Amino acid sequence: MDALEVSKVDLLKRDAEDAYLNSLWNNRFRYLSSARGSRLVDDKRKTVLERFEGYQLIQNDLATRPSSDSLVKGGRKEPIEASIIPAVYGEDAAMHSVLERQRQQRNKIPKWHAPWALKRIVNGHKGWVRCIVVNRVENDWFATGSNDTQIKVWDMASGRLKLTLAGHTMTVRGLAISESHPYMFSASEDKLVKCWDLEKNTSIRDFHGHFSGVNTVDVHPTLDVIASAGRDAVVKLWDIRTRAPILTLAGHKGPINKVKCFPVDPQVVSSSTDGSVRMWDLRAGKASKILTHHSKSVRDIAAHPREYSMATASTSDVRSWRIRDGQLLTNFDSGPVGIITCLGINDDNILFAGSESGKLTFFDYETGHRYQELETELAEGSLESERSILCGAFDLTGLRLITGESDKSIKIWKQVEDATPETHPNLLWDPNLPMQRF
Amino acid sequence: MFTSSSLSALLPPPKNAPATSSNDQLQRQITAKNLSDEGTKSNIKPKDPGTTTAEALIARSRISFHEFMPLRQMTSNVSIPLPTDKEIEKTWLDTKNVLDGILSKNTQSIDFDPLRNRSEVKSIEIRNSHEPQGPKKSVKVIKQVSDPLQPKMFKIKKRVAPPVEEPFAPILHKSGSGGFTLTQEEKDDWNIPAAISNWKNPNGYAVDLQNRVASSSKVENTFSGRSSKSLELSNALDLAERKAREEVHLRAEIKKQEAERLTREREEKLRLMALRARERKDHGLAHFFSSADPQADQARQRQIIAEERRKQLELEARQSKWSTADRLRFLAHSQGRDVSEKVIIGAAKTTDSEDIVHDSRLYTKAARRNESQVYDSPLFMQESRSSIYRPKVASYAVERAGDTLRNLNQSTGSNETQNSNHRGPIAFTRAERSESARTENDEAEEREVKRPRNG
Repeated sequence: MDALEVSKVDLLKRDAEDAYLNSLWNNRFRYLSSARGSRLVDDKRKTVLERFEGYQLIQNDLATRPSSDSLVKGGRKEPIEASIIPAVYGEDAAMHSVLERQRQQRNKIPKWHAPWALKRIVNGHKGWVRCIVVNRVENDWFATGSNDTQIKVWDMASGRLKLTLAGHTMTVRGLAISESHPYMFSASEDKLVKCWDLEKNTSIRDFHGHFSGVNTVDVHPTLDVIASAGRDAVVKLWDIRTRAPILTLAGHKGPINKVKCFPVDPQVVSSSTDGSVRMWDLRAGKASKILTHHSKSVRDIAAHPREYSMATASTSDVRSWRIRDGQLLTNFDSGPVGIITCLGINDDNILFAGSESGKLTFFDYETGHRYQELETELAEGSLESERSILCGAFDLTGLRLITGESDKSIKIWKQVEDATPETHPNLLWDPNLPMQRF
Repeated sequence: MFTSSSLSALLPPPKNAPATSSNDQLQRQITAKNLSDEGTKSNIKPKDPGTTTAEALIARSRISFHEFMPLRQMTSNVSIPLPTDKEIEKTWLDTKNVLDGILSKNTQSIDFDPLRNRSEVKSIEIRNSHEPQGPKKSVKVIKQVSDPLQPKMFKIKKRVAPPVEEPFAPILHKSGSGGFTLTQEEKDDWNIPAAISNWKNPNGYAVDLQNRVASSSKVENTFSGRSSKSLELSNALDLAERKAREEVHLRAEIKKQEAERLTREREEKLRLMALRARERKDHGLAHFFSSADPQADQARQRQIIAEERRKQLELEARQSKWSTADRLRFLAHSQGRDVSEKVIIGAAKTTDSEDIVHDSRLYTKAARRNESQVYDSPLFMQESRSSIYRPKVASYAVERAGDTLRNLNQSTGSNETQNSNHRGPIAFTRAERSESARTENDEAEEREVKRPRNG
């Protein structure tokens, strides 16, 4: 028994000594595990299998050694576990994981969508058509605002002019139709937001207060509030009834391109030329989240009609987000698109991007697959330099796409009716590394 | 990152900044604590429900891989339902309360009620304090009417914007715009130098000579294509012209030389011919005269003279048949005189009255027509002035005729025509006297000259 006790004590002693030495050793030479130069020499000669065996040996050694667990716990086990991929596969392990993800992406098959084609050209404006809004209540008309300071209301089915609203003195840059009031709101470069009564067809209210041109306006879906923003880099919230400014949301560093209102927090989302997208908390009066993924001016925001997500676009960069927390959902395959001026999302999970070079690009919203590219057709009597899309929107059904262009025309696009995947195959699905960019 | 941690937070608050409530400061402290100590995150409950989400987000905002990893590319089948009605209702209510609060606060300050500005009349009953049981006085209180358009009398203070509290926003895009960098060359290509006028320089910029030359040469270089071409063209034209001139010159030279050669040859030929002819003549004459028989020579001489005589006689015979006019013409011709046709015919007649005595000086001075005439007597008085520059009609023939006459005279031995080589006008043939004598006998001479007309 004594001898056993003695041997046990000895063992314990030895273990303690070992552990102590081990910890000393660890403290002294731990940096070597992360330092590259020391290991590179013999690591280069080993194959992956040999390296894996070495890694396993270390792991087993650690597992069998109880003393090491008790004394140097946090400092040792974690980094080695985390470094399995570089330990086995080498230094380009991160690359490997991206490739792995790309492989997964490749295995996904995006849904096929019928291609789009031009259906009708509507002329009537005397300037660039800067904004389009479709009636949200009934899908029977849409309104366009133009450089010629006028707002025109068009019949959706026939494309006939229904009404011309004049009142602004400069370009009309933004339009919004309320779902709960018979009102339409227009934002203009003359620093005004006007409220139009659609029953009397006159302007009934002016919202004064912006220091410079107003680029965009949107109606809050539940509150009697509109949000407008423009060149003075603030989002202003107005009470519709009293015309009084409620809040001024400051924070953007550049002119704001687009404001969008949502029923649930964040209730206002704005995108700016400084490349940021801000989600505003109305109750606190400040930004709750700032999305800085875009590196250039974010020109448009589009909300998905059936999903609580949105897409934003800057130059050659379209991304979709979960609205609730601003989580990035998809990077779209938008490398060669160029300057994107407008976005639109369909019920059918089609995302449309109109670019300044006059190109319409269609994406699958889920996967980010760029499935069709289309050049606009020049309206008769317009110049080659006037080929650019300034605004675009799907109608309520999502079957028609209406674009306003700098050749002063409005174009209506429809999907090819009897198209099948065989007759009209989409562009190739090739998820590349840039799509995984961050 | 946070306003509380920035430098401006350490400075005293701006003078006119709105006073931050203690509640706010507490909040800030809490958030700071929150961030420093992750463990106590869940324990803190801020009082204001409005700031909950913002603070929670701030507390949560540490960069994670999921921030910039696309969710749909990591996990498939992400469903994001639209917000429920209940949720919407709740948010609506909350937000509405907050906004209504702000709105009511804002609108209270604005005087919307137009009735309020009207002068109200209020009557108050006052009793004298010294005699509490005294009679009451009623006093009307009228609000002073103010001009609604009068500008405000108090100064509006400018307020410094309150510090914006922002959530932590890491930059999640690649800076440097996709690794696109400009090289120095490209930068230089795009560089537009500041314009400095050549005429005005109010700022007093100094452009050193080198740059000036460079810029001017740059300007020239821009047109160099055109100017060099035109220069080439003009040079080529010059060259061509010079060549053409040289060729023409050369050709002319050659022609001249050729002509010279031809003339020389012709002269030579002529000279040779003349020489030959002379030789032949000499030879012939020599042969003619150098015959051995002197009698034959004399006979031959006589024969020649006879021949000449015969010719002379024939001429005289012919002349005898001539009219006077013809004879006169011939005489004038033989003497080299140009006698007008009228004189010959006799149409030009002077008056024959001999009674009239002329002062001879009239004749000498008649030529002086004006004062500018220097000389008394004209130099060519004897000749008609019109015929001074007229060439002598066949003077050669006349000479020949004279020669023949002389020959005849010689052969006839008469010395009469000794002075026949004097080729003056007839009037002076005899006048070899002194000047004075001549002036005296002018009339006579004239008459003598005119005499043949009568004959």
